[in-house]
Amino acid sequence: MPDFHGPIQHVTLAGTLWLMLCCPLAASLVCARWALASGSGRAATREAIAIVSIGAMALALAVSAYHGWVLGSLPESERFLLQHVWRLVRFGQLDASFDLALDPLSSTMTLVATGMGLPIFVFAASTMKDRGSPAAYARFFAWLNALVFATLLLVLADNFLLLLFGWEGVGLCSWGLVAFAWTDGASVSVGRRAFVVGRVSDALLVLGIALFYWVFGGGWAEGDYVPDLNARFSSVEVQEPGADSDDDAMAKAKDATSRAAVAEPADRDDEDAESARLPALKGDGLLTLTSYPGATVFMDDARTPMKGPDGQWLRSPFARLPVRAGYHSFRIHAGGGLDDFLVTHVAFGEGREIALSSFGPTVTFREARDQLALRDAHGVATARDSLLAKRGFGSVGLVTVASLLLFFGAAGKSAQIPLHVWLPDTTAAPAPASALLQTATAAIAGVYLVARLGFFFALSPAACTVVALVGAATALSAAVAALYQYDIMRILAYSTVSQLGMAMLAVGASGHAAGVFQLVAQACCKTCLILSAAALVHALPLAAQGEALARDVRRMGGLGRLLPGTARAYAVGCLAMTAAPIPGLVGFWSTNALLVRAFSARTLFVPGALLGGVALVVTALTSFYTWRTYYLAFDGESRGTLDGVREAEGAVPRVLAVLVGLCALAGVLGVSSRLLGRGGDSLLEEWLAPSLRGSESPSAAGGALREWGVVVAAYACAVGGFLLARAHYSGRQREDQWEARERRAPLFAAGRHGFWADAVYANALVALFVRTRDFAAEFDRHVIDGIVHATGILTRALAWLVGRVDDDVVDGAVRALSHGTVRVGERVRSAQTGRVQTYVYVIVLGILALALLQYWLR
Amino acid sequence: MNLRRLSSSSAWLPLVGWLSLFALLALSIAWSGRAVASPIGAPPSASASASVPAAPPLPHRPIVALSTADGARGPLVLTARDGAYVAELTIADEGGEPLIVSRVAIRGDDEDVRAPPRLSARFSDGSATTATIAPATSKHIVVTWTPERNARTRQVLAHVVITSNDEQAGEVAMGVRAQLASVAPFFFDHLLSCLTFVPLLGALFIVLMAGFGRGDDRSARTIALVATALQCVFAVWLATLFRGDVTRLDGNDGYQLIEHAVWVRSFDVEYFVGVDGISMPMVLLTSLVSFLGCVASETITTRPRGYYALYLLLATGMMGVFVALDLLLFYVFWELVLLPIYFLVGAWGGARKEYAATKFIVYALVGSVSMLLAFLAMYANADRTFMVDGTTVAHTFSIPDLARVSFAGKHLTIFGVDFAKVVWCLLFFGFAIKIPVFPLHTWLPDAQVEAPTPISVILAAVLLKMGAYGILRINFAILPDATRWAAGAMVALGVVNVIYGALCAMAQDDLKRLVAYSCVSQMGFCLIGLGSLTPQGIAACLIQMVSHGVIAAMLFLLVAVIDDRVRTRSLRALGGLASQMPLYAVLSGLAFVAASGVPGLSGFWGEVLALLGAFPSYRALTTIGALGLVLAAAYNLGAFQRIFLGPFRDSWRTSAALEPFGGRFPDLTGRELATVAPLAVIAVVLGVWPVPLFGLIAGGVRDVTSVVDPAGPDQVASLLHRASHALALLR
Repeated sequence: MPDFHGPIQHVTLAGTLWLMLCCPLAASLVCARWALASGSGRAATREAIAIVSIGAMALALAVSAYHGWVLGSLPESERFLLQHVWRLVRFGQLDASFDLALDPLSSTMTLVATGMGLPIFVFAASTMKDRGSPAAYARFFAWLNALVFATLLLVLADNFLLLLFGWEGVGLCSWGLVAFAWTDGASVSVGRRAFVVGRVSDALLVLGIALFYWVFGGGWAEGDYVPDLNARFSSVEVQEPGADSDDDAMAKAKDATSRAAVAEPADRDDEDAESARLPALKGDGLLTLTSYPGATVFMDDARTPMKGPDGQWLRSPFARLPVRAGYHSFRIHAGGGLDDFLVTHVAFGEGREIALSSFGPTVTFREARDQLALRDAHGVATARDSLLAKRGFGSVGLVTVASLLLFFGAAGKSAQIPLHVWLPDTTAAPAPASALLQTATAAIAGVYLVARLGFFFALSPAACTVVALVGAATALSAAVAALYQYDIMRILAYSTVSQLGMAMLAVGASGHAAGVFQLVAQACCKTCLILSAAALVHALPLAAQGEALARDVRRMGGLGRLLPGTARAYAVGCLAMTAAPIPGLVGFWSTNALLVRAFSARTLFVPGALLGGVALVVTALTSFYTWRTYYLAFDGESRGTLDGVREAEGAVPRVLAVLVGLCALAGVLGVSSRLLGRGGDSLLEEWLAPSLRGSESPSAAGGALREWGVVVAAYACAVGGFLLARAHYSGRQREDQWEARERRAPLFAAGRHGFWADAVYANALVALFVRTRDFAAEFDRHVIDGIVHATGILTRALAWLVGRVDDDVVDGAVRALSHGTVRVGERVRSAQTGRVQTYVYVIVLGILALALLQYWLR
Repeated sequence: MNLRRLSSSSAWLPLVGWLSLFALLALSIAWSGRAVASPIGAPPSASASASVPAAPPLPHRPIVALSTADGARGPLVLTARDGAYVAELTIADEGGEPLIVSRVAIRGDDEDVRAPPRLSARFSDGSATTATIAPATSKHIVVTWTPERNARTRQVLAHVVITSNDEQAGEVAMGVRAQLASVAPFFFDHLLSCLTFVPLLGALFIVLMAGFGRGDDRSARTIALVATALQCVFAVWLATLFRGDVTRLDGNDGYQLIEHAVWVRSFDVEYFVGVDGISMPMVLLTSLVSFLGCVASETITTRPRGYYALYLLLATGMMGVFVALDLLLFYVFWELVLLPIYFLVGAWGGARKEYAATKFIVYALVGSVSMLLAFLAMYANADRTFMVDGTTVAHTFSIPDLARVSFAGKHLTIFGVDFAKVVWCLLFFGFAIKIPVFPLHTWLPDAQVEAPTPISVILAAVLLKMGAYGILRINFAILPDATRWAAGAMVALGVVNVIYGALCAMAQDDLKRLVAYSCVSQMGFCLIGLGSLTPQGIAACLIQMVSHGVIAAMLFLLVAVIDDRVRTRSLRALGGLASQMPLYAVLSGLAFVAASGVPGLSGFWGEVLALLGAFPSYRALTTIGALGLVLAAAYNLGAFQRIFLGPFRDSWRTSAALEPFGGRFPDLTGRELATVAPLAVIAVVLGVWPVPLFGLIAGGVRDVTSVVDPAGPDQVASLLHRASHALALLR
């Protein structure tokens, strides 16, 4: 009998996912080799480096697009490609393998990473040529390729431990890229800060993983954790997702279980009666096993393992293997020092698919989600209920604690307050690297993780509320900070922080699809904006004097006439980013989807209107600061000498054109699928649905009126921001004293300094650590070693003392004794007089004394 | 002893000679213990009854006497016969009354597995396990072992236990021993001894050659290289013979490749060595580091013969610690490690070598004394058991036998405190000095800084692990109850180590000191893992021991590179070296990144699994411990950045230190690369493919966990089982 039933994730095995990782990894290694060999005369030319890197990226894009297509051609419930590469750890209940998984969510992310990666690589190959030696060029591409590799690993990981590989790899690569100009002390220390901030989030994530892992099994008895010692297996009857919400399906499941209950071994007393009572089983059933990759399966107590269709021994993972009808038992030999697992009395019949599924602690996302969705024979979601019942730290649900730890881990990567400081720092990296870090790789990881764990966060409304609030706070404060920056790259970086905050807000409001959409939109427009800004900065003569000078918008102006192509690309980027109501542009759709989710959010104590309101304000601010940058840079009078400023040639304009095209076309993702005859959600939402199963919480019924209201409000905010920016900064209306006026604007000081986050870190946290560190070192040197030395000195003093005692007291005593004996002897000798009378007197006196003594003592 | 005089004269030679002779003596006793067992150890009655005609009148009671077929006392060696291993044991009655044997059995049962399965003993006449033997007659007992085709254990070490009506003798036993046939029986049977004593042989060779006035410094180096290389080869061979999935349920207490003989009969000491999942990775690490350290010793130019002789002695001692299964043998090897290090640091060290060496030896001896006291206390309170040849002894030093003693059940106290707890603390104190645990750690930075490079490498890579290994091997195995009692303290000390070590490391300017403090910090993760008592935590401890051994060795070798070039290790003086020495920069970057626990490199597994394992029981402590990840990144990356990044100082070009190199920093030499590269490869391979290492330790981790944290009734029951239990109650 199947012990459980429910929607197990159908898995389609794939053998080619590793290719996607292989391309950037190989390119990275080749480039690193070239970078090292630069001195030895075996150096490669810049062209070779560019060809290898761009080629690898194009290949990765092609592989990722191919797999996306493969995924799309599968039935919706089977959209999950899995490849087992090798085992990492397996002992106790911990099982993690180098498993790659591709579902619609990770497919979207791989497409973003490689799809944005390719234009950025082309751009970098062209603009980095004249900077530094070929070795530096090779090193740059080695890091860029490594960054893409780490990101792909991160999104393809099937479990938490593998995800950590990508997660920290991304952190390491951001260090390498931010500190790319490594002879410059400032950029090096900025790079280290990026890495250390990343490590803070890693540490939190590790703790979150630990709790996530343990909370799925065992239990806390009187404060002590009592783990299950072995993993457990049960048979699960696979149902279509969504079936168990259906009453019919419930009834059917009950029916199935009641039929199966007949097969209860305890009832089996008579074989004939048994077979008579059992329902007849006809046709082949299907068997699936995807846990414990590499495990060997034995059927019906056979001493040799089962054979697969290809004649080889059957090893996990496999899916939908035909098994003849009847009752079977299975023994699963997982290895790694684990006992074999037994699953007995599994009924197979026509069209029944049985999955042997592991229970208990897991670090695999898929298994965790499956467990939570399963129901036992009585229709109770046992695992989910026992998970929700676990409490710790007072009476907080452990699900909430785990979710919060995971979220703060994710917040570090996606630059949420207060761990956002590293992202504006990435502007120290060369512009293409900065673009890649912000839009396609490092920064999207956090939002991705929260979306990936949506099924887990959905169990804890409190955690979701915190996610949404932190997202809202980040979005708002970073938008304010972006208002008052002068460095064009920093404006865009703060804008990225703000947009990531918006995505987090959406994810917290359980609008995972909207959040992911926001990421995609953000990737398109922000890449376009950063690269066109980079092209602009690159074209300026000031760039020769220093990047920082050239990036200052106060020194720009009137460049639109000289660089019309760049200006156009930047303008399209602006339009796409703000919620301008031009149908093709991506920002309009993503912002609307996000706002609708925000307004209809149902969080613990925060009204949806507040979240929506914040989002609207951020929309207005976004529109304002983007257009401010545009007008300051491209409009008005030019400043300084602009001789020789002209459009870049070759690859740069083409890359910008492609990005403009992407900004325009990506809006298609937001089109309602009703046009294609499906449900009412947007295309992206429809596409992501299988990945986000179990993570959507019921949201307040929106209604067309509310949706249209939100759309109109967003439109108004975007246009309002635009008009305000135009009124203040466009060439004709800009005041001469606009800087002074800005200084008087509300929140200027806070925004200008990014709410003093850097200062707080430097003066409070870092200073605290420096002081503690110095204290520890002094303590070690003086106190602990002091105690050691004091013990040594004391021992020597004691030894001296003992020596003296030995000399004076002990020897003295001996001497004294001998002297005393001699002296006593001399005295006593005088008593021996030899006269008998004296002896008699003494004897008589002695007897008398004794008699008296006797008398007194009586 | 005046070290300065020692280092300036050639007084080391006789000293080394004496030490080696001492070791040789110990070894010869060990060997004589086996060979001598038959003529001297045999009971006089067995041979006397046959040959002496005028026997005294027999006492009026039964006297049981066991002997092997050739009249020797044991252990009984089973020989192959038709796929089975068989031997006959003679049981005789030497008393004047009939001897009634009520039970003949292989020692151990399902609850307390001692022997591998399929081992049996019965009377040769086919009778059951009971028999009556008339006075002055004997019967034979056939002991048979029929190993499966693919036997999990390749050897049998067991006892046949006989209960009879000889009340004075009580239960008597005969040792049984069998070994699956192999291609090279001698090496197979004595592989562990070969592995352990090959370096000692090399040391003797060097001393003898010096004594006869032959051989020069170069030949000493060659001998040392050959000896350590041979040790490596043996270790790899050992690893191929070793099965990681064997647990104590497979018999022989889970140990493999056991060599077991009586050593000092009067003190019940045995020569007992063997490996299991806990010691196997350490054996591999030790042999590898010994070899690489030997390669790196090329820079030692003063009195190399003495150096290599002591170095080889050290190699033997370290290996012995990890294979010894008898407490006194363990102690002998433990002491054998300390003395060479004292001289190596004190005579070949840096500026403050005498201070460092004295500090090291005083700490080490204090720890040893505490350890020895604990050993003697356990010995004195052990239960009656049998030695390998079947001799009944009242006390024992054997670890597996001591592990079966229920000290808690004896209700012993020392000064009113529970015996087990006091002994546990004494042991822990001894091992904690080695780990080193705050606040007993200050010997480490001093010793590391002053020691010559290869000795720094060995200190970090192997010596610190001896502490954690000792805790696992002795505290965990013998005193599980006390271990549970002290688990929280171990985690707390581990967290203190992690944080405090990292903070101290951040404040250092001397690179070697920085790495030394990072060792303190990293070993804290071992303690956290140990204290967690979960399989994840214990595995993490072992993984961390190996991985930190590899990474710390790499770091010290890399520090030596810069130290050799310009005689400075000050972070303030360096900077921008990446442009000068790109390969060195890349390898150092790898080492520092690995030390900060980034995934993809071996350091990751230890740290993450330790935190994962300890989290359910010690949430607050683990959360603080996780701060160690951040600090590790800060100090490792900080050190890397200050040495290699930033502007290069042109003042170096004109400095006197670089004159021999023509004013620039030369990149790694072939010898330096040869020492660092294997470690780097291991760090990367274990980082992305840790299965080989996890495979080695699986069985050992299982055993340790099942001892310190035996499964409760709820722990294996699944959701399903729990539900069915509930249903059964309802019915």
